[in-house]
Amino acid sequence: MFSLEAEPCPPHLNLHNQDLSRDEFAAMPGPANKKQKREQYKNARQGGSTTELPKKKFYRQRAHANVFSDHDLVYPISPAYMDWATYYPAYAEPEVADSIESTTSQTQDISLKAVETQDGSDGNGATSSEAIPMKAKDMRKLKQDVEVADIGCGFGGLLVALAPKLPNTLMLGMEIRTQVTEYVHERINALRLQNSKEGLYQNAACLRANSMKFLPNFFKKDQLSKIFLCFPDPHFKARKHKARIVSTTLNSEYAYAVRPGGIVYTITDVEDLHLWMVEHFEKHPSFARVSEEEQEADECVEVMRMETEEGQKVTRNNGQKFVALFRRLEDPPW
Amino acid sequence: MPYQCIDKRRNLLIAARDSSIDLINLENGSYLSTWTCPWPEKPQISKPEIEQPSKLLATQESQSSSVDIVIDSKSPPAKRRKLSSGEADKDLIKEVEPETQGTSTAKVTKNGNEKNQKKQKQNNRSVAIAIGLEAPAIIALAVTVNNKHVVAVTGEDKCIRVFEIVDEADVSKLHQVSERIMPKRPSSIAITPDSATILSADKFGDVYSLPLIPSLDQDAQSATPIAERPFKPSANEKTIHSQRNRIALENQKRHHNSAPKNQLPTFEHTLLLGHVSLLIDLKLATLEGKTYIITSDRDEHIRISRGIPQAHVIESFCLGHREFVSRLCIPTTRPGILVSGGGDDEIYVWKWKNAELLCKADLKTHVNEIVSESAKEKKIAVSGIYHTNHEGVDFVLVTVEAIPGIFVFKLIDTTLTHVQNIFLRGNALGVVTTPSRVITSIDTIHTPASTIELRSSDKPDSSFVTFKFTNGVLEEDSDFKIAGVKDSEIVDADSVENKRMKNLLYSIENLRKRVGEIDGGEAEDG
Repeated sequence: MFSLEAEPCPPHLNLHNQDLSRDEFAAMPGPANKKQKREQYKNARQGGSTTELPKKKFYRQRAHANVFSDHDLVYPISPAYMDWATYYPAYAEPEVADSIESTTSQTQDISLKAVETQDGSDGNGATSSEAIPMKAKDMRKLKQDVEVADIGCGFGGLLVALAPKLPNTLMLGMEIRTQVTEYVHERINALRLQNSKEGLYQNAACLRANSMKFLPNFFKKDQLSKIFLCFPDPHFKARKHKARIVSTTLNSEYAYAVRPGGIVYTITDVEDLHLWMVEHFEKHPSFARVSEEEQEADECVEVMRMETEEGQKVTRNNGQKFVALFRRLEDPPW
Repeated sequence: MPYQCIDKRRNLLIAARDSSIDLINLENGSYLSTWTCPWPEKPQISKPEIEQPSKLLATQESQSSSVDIVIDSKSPPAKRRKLSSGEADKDLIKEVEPETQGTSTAKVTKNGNEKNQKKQKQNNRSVAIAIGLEAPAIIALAVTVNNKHVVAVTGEDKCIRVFEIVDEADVSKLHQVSERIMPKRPSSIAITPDSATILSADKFGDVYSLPLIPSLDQDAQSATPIAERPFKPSANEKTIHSQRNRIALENQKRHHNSAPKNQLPTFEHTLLLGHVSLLIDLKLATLEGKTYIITSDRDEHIRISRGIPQAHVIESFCLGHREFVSRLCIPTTRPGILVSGGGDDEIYVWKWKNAELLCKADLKTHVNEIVSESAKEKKIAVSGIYHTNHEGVDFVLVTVEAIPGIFVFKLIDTTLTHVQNIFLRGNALGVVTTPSRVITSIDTIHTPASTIELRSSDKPDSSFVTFKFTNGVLEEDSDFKIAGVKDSEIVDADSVENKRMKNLLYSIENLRKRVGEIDGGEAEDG
């Protein structure tokens, strides 16, 4: 659905069409009210320290985000500056690391753009302000690296289902919509508290990012073993194809982040997009498609089919699901 | 008109001003010849384009559309913005609904109107392109390693032009051998060391390779039209849809018989790599016998990819910049070193193969030494980084957009140290280095440190200033004069001409991200 917050009535409507503009204004109290309710709800959640799972209806945001625009994103200058410990506190080294493997001066801000969100309702407040420390020297190192990335994780169904199945693997959901990111963040926090005895869900986290632009800011070369691309935005129009998550040129970036032998998982309900993804990955010299038997034997495939929010929606709708897996090949010598 | 970009070939200075390229003898500074870009064909060429879709329309409508053209051509050039059919529809529904209620007739009118409106937009655009400018301006130059060819990019028509340097009766001339229109406007070009391939980085973030001399066979082959496939929408009703996707799908179904709009280039070209960002600079490097492609973008990245044919393999990213990276420089004497600059206050020095940052050299302080008090707060944007070697010492020369100076650094081992500031009479535009001299082109139209304010020019200034090394320091070489060709002057600071000049000479600072800007584009993302 459209999110109407902070979108003033377009001035041209005001000028040219009185009737329409009146209609527009009549509709205005709606969104304002919605905003208020969201704020109330989020304040009542005690900043995420509750075991109650968040309600999706307070976090809905329209399905598309322009991947080419700048937004007000917060991202590390480079992977060495990424403070993972705030996302995976259970996996952090006990003491503060005294050196960072980088030649850059340590006293500078590590986040490139520590911009405050200009709109409370846009609220990644909870996620960004607590999660991004200002100084590199305040960072604690992790005992292990993040190995699984769910790009465009949406409401986090895959993460939540996969976390207990791969309990010793750190996984990260990346989502461009602030509200949705916040939801996943709250969801994981609640699950961590609910399962604090077993220590489950400590290996899953979510952050707001534009992965098409900034993947190399988060991950070193060969860091990942799995990337999930689940039900990506199909971008039906031909002139929007550059915004698709799979393209010849972007596949090179996935190849950079995924180590040889690692797998890129794709699933979609749009056959055209499936064929597009298969075509572009098969054409890319760094990837080869995984055989059907091997694909069906992979436990992540079933999770991807049944546990993602979109996957469930498609099932309810009796839609089709198209799965394809691609293995990262060794680079030829240069 | 000042020279916006300059390059050299042995004893030739190749200097582009607006839409022409002058050749100047570097030994004695004498003017040789000029190549001028032909003006684009007149607006009439847009007519056949219009006529094609109008076959579908009633005669009345095509008449009304031709009236539209007239009106359009009087109006100022429109902002080039693609309107999605969705938006057009919305407007139409508003227009049509109050007028007619009979469903069938309303449909007809609507469809007719829609096409009409679309055509109008198309007209608007093509007319705007045709009347908004005279001839496309040259935005990038490159010379092949074997010194035989010059490659130039003209901006407005996104065209890559290849010239042969011909010597006719001791006068060198440029003879255009090919012109190729790229899918997006190239922002930087490079030529492979074997002088056979052009690499072009564009505003869409893609890098294409194309042969320097297009082979005729390939042209003929790819020119054959691709067999039209029957239209099938990408999605079906069972596909999960957002409201917008549903609208898009409906549109697809409705327009299923319309011909594909985007014509792909018919010449041989290969997509090598791409960023989801705007590419600003592209350099080729050779290290230990292997070639690499280095690209820099608006999102602070410097990417190191392997050369052809393994350009899909990313070796590393040099990450550390906090603003766009506008210029890259690999000193010829130190092929493992990369000097980069952009919207940051510092110049960065990298060991690029391992993405290792070696040092940062402050630039802003030195810029502040030569600007007035009021301009000290202003952000800086690096417009050029050049290398020259004098008596075994590596010098790095840096120019900053709209700043009348050259900032000279010494590269010793892995550190960059400031040596001197050179003051110029006008804003630095381009720099060319020869073993003995440094030649710079300056803005002779605007007052120093301004991009808008015009000079009250009683005596015309020379477009070039030359320097030579004296005791390890660059000093003006007043004995060496280059014949700059004087051209028409701009009279009005607010004139279209001056605005165009500003866009041509000073476009880098515009790349800076604006902090706190509303998540733009999301609203218009159709």
